[in-house]
Amino acid sequence: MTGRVAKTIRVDTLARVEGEGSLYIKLVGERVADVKLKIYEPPRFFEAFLRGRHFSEAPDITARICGICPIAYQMSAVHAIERALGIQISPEVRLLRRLFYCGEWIESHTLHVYMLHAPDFLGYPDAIAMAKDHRAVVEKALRLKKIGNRIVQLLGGREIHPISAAVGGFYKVPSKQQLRDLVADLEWALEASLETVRWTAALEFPNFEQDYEFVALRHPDEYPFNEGRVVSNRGLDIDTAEYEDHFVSCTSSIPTPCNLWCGAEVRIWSVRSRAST
Amino acid sequence: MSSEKHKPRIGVFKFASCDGCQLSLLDAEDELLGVAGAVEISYFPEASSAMLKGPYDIGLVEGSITTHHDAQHIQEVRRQCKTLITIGACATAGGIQALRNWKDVDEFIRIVYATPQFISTLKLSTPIAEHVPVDFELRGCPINKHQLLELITATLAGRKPNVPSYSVCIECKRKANVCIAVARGIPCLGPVTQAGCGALCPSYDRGCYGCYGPMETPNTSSMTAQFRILGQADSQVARAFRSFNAWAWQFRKASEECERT
Repeated sequence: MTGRVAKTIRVDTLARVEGEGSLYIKLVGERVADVKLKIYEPPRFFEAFLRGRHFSEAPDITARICGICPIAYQMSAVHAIERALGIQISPEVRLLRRLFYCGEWIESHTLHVYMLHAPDFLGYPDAIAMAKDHRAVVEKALRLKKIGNRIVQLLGGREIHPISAAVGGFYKVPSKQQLRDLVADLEWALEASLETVRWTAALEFPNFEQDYEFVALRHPDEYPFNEGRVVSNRGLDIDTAEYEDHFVSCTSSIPTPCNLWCGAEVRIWSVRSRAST
Repeated sequence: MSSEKHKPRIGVFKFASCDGCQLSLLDAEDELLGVAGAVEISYFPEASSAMLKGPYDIGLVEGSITTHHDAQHIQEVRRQCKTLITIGACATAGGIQALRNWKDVDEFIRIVYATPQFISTLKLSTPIAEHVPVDFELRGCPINKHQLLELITATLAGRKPNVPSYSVCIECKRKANVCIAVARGIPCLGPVTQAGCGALCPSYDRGCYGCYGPMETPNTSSMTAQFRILGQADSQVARAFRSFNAWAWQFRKASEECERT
């Protein structure tokens, strides 16, 4: 191993992520000797300035944590307050919220898959350059993204920082006819989504596996969006209210896999080892 | 290549913000490929790893200034951009993070971050125009993508952009909305807030919360009096003015007057 030349990879501005960061990798031969991920996204202090605000303002304020996935934040605020106040929502509101969330997933995941990540897999700087050789793929992506945005717009008023979701329900709900009008687009989008899965599965992934602990919501009857238990692949199974007992948040200089995708308030969350607590 | 050279070059720069305003460009699904054909998007890290060097014909700046590094960086961005346009409430008014401006930021750091020593920030969150000259401020939290496209088109054509500075009330009247403040007694900031959203909140049965910031000549004291008539306490009126455009001077003055009474 001695005599091998050290090589460094330095990316001062990470591209196609939400948030700002830089990456430094030092290689000795084939071996990674050092990795530094630096997040220089400025802190904004949502937890601090939410104090003293009326509960009805929290969903509007928390949306601003991230412009790409505002619904995730505003619905989290809505659920926390409804739980604190013991509010039960109607089955209709529950279904509309699922649809609302699906809209964000469609637009946000399409953006992610086709416009932020696919250029890396196919060797382009961005989706616009990719469109020169893969016009049909990019046009399909834009149409799929637009359908997601159309759902968010119908239920929330606008795509970014929607205004209709509220504690207890919505300020205003669409008419049945407006919802029916979505059907034709959604039938096309279902097929396009299946094509997306097949297309993405055919991309070449590096053969790299790490011993992660994956955490997700789990619901007994359906794909979990707004409710469920917090579970992990290593046996964690808790109520959402117990979250603080099992997770630690740390601002860290330690290079840890971190989700830059939603790094507006950048934290590195790790599951607290139950053995050590 | 030679024809590419003559395309106007656009740079998109981010400071403290949520990314939503620059996302508006990618959310222009029907126009994106057309825009990309008419201009060269030279620097837009959220969308591209190309990141070409300046100078740029148009710089779109999102976010407020909250760190020493950013206060220096905006000077460099200004030097690189022939026309500098700020987009969104963070860049034009300091954003929601300007709520720190009335509080102790060191306390904010301590209660939010587990290891405060890694956090470096300024006491104030300030708009771009407090640091460098700005050629046009596009309002909104978030901005309206159609206004953004109009602004880019107008700038490239060398004409004045059609971005009205009148109030949300005008948009409400155009949509034939029944006034929710008059008819239903719901507090609404529409009379003092700049148009651009399409009177969105009143159209969804709720009062405007002012995310497009102050209109050209807002009568905030009359607005405050109206909120009081509708039963709002001064603390509630102060909070209404103190959200996404809290540091815009007209809203700032209005909220501070409510706190004093």
